[in-house]
Amino acid sequence: MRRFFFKLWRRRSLERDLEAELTFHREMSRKNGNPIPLGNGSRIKEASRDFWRFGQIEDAWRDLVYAARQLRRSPAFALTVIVTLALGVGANGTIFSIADGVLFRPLPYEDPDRVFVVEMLNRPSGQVYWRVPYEFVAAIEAQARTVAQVGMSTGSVSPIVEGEAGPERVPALAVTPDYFDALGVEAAYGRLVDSEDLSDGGRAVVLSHASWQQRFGGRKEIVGTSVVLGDTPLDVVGVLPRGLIFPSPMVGDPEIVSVTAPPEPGDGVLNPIVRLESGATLEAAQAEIDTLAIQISPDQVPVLTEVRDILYRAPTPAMRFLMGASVLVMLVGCAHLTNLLMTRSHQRTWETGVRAALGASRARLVRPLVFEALLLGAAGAIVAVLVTVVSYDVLFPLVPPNAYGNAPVGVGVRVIVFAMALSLLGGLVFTVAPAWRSAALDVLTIIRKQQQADAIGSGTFGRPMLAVQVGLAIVLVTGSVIAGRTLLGVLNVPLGFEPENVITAHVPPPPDLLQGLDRQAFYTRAMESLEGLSDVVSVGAALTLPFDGAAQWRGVVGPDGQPLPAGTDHVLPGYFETAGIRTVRGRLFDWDDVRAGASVAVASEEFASIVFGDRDPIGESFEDNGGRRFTVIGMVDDAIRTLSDDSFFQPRAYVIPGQETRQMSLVIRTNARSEVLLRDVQRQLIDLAPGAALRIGWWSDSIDSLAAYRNPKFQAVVLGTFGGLALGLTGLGVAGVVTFLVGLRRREMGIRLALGAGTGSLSRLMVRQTVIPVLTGAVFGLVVTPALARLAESQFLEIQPPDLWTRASAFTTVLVVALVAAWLPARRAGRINPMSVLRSE
Amino acid sequence: MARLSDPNLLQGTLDLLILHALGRSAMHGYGIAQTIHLLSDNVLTVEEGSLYPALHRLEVEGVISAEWGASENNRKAKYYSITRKGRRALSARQETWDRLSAAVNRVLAT
Repeated sequence: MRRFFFKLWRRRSLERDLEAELTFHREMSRKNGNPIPLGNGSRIKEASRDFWRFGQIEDAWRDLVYAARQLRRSPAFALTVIVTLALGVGANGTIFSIADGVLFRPLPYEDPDRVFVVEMLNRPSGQVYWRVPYEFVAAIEAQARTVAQVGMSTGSVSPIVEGEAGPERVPALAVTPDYFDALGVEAAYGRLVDSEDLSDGGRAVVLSHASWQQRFGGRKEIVGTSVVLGDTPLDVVGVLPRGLIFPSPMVGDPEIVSVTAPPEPGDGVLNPIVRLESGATLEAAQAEIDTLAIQISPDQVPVLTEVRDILYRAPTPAMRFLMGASVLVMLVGCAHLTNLLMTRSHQRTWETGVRAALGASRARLVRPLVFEALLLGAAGAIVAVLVTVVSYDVLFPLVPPNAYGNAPVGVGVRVIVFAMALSLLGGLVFTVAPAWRSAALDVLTIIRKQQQADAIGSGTFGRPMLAVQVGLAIVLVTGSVIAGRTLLGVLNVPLGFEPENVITAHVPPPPDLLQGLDRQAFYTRAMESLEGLSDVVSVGAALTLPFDGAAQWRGVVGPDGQPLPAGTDHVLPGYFETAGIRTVRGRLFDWDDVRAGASVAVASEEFASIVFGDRDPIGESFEDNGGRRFTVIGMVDDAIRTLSDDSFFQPRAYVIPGQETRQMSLVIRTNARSEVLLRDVQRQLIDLAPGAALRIGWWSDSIDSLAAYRNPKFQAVVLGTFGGLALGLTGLGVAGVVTFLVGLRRREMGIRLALGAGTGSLSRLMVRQTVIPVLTGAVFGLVVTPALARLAESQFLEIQPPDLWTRASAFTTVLVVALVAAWLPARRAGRINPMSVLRSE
Repeated sequence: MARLSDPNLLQGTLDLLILHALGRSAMHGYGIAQTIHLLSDNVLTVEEGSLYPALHRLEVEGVISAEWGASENNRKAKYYSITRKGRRALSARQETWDRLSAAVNRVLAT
């Protein structure tokens, strides 16, 4: 092989040598008057070259140069193909760079297919919980033979450090000794925590890679030493690998991980993980767990769930949907490419015929076309990567963070390889097929009667592809219209509260307040002190706020003790007024209720209809699953908790926490949005709870950023872009085909004009040629769209099904674009000069 | 007079003759042709059209090597010499040839 390249390199000198050698030979022959016959010089060279094996490479090189020259001669064609490829692939690359982590990229564990998260299924209610009672986990660990390791994790003491915006909490996690074995993760530096660290009270920790980089400058010496974070002393024993994803959204991204003993029986474990024995199937493991669970409880059963499903359950459908849409864009682009290439190979029929007649093999005829495709594909790939990078930068800020969770996103090697492969594939598949077909033409027919040959394709030429393009364009345009309307719809959904000019502050209670009533008093004091600030209109407090993703306090049970799909939430007086939740009837809480520790509740409308049906809720009572009974004194509007229909967020009734006070968030309504006021509020709260990790900000900001993964703005923008792309490509496709047909029938048009046909009638004639395929495609699109829409609806957002208006508008848009695109080049038919056409005959 | 020009018929033979000639001493292409011509009592004539491709092939195979040198009349010429591998190939081919020609002779003698 090396010799081969060496010779390739020395090619020229070899040629010179041969020449010199032969000259020498001839001179000698002449001088000696030797009658040894001379051979044919070039034949010798040819024969020698064959040994050097330049032949094939040289041929290929010549074909490559030929292909490049052909492309240079038709820059418009090359540019169109490259732009089409770049747009189609760029759309896919952009979506892929966001969706890859959610959909495809293997999780960063060893044998990730063997790792599962355990969830708890309540059989009677069908509800699935993340908290698994320890008895079940212990049974699985001790008895399940299909399970190799079990890992459990729990929150841990978070050191509080001084951040840029006041004190902040360093997220911490404690795991059981087997956890990382179960997960299949090894330390990047140092070691992981293990059972020997159990005795030192959680001082031994591994750092997350990001934390190690940011807090400790990525210094390897830190491993094996003691550090102080905030005022917590820690022994750093190792660093976790970069990009580690913990298999539960509840865990998030802890910065420090310590080791802990398994919990006590009676406790719950959040999202325990199991690693199956190698060779054990999910079905076998689940069956074994089912039989173990039935001995513990008849109603509850642990369910093994894929990690990907736990992490990305919510964003997966949207990502799939967007990938599907981007594939459609690619298909429209590909139909366009096929048309372009067919036009081109058709225009070259004459040339192909001549080359075939001169004895070129079919492979030899196709090879330059393949090279052309490869050149175009490569150029398309490069532009596509640029398009991907740019559009990713533009698009990414629109993506709600929940759309990808902690999945890795960005334009990386995988994305670039994906884009390159797609471009080359697109280039090859859609150029080689028409090329191969064109090379199969009958040589004699072409050479003898070129004009008839021209007519070969004109009957069906390009039209099926046109129909496909139009059909796909209708699907995409309908999609973007739907997404746009959904966006408008969601923006118009009444929130049920008024977040403008409201500050929210999440304040953890001081750790020395162990009694619920003391904590309640703490929040009462905080509210009083904030009310004293000027420009503060009112102050309230609640356990959970709409859109903050927090669960209810307790479930509610019906008269028969069965859980109802409703829950309670803690609030203190002033909350409804401050949050802007409208009172429907009855009265709200006052401080007398708080002082009396009254068991009264304010129900939301939906809560009332679930628990009391049609009855007037005022004066009715209900029981929570803690056994406490409340009397309803008032009813308020429903405050939307999320834009999703997640059952996690059940309709609430509001009660006074009293003895059960845990932590609360304050809401502070102000006269106007003022950053000075925000600082004042922060200062007050820091005075009240020194060292606490506060989260403070404007409510409307956090809703905009957190407003759930179903925030359809992102989808609307993406689908709108895709629809526009599809329209553009379809327009180009229609225009291209009509241009070609006009060129093909130039002679006929000339004669028609000479015979007195009007220019208008000729243009109409040309436009008419595209009407049938365009209409066919449009009907096809209309038929397919509702089916696709149902598919989208089943796993996407609560879209309005494409109603008549939506479909009609998409249909009209595509039709108008297609007809305008047909008409523009068709006008050229009328401008043909009959004399020049006839003279050229 | 026979011409060693048909590569299919006489390729193996030409290789053998070239290797044999080079086995005596290193020489340039013209010298090889001359040697074969003379040693065969002017019966065999090697066309350059066969000779040089054969030389280059043998060079690629590594049984002979080539380098530029000065000819007897001080002209630049490419000198071929047999390699160690070439000597082994020569004796193997000679043996094959001996067996083959003996066999052909036996057939023709009857």
